[in-house]
Amino acid sequence: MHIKKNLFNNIFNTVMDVKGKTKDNDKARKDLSLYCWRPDLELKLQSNGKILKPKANYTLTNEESKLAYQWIKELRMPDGYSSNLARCVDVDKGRIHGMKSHDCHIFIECLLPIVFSALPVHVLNPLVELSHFFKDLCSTTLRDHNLVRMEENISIILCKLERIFPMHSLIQWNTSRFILQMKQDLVDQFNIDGCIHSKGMTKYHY
Amino acid sequence: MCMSRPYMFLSCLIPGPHNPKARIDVYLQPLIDDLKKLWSGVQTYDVSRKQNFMTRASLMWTINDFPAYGMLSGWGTQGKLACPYCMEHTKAFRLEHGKKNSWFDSHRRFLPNTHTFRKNKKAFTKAKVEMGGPPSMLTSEEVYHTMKNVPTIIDEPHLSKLPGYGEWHNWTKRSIF
Repeated sequence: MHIKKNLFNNIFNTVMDVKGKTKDNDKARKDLSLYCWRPDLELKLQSNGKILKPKANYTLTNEESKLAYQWIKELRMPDGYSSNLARCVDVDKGRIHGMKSHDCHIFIECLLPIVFSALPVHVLNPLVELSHFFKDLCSTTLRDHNLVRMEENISIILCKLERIFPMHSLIQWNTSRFILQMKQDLVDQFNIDGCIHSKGMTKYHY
Repeated sequence: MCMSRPYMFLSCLIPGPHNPKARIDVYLQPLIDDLKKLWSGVQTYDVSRKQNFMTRASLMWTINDFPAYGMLSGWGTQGKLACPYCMEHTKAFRLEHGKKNSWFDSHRRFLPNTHTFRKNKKAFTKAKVEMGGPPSMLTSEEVYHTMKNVPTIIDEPHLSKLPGYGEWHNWTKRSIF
């Protein structure tokens, strides 16, 4: 529950570049230049003495994010599926508020691939894979061979995300590294018990 | 089936406003006593057959969120050593400017040995090739041997931080389970 909520907040605020909430801040860029080789993201000192923060490929432009907010604003959900997301969106200020953890769950699983479709393919794909991972994990029936496949996939997905996003967003996402471990536990447990886990039977609450 | 209503019941609500932390064991003590009794077996009456039989029970798993995982298992889920899977083999480090712990580049060791990401020197940490395998998982005997000299909360209610906590281990107590 909280893993998904934290993950949603960090991904959404970073991709939409919400001022004050994005994890892609100056400190993150400084750290990037220390630990990684990402010349396109490093802060650049300009001739007039000001520091330029280049736009990252994982953030949407203002127009694109406005369109995305507009899309959420006009969204209609089936009765009882999630709360009225249109109420949570502020198109003018460009921010989202009052999301309950269940709304974040719906957003991560169903809406994320559509809302972020304006991102370049190499950024969007790992995010979509992550969304599918959560969808599979929370399905009512988990099958043995699927769990093994998911366990193999999640480490690749996490590596792909590490390649793209700055470490600061990954700080909060470090919760996501536990997914990996949970997965492992689940598979082990599954092998020991040999019974099918129903939705709530997962050892942890995502 | 085990999640349907006839098979579940609420047995204990722990009042707030403070988090019980490691002292959650105090609330679990009656459960442990019962489980110990049920392990050796209890005479029970079967109405349909009109005869007695032995009931036995064991704890198969717990369902919890991540903070509660730290309370139940005894391995604290905070700080640099928070990951209960990597434990002391963690690759977490503190960011220079962000001043926070980061687990950046800790996942490459879970990839298959031949994966191209392992040799990638540009996308992850600068000029680093990852060839190590995933950390090994502790077996129950190993956990028992590490923790057998550490007191439980029941033995020592005011258990202070164990020496080396947060430095080379994250154990807070011996779990009651």
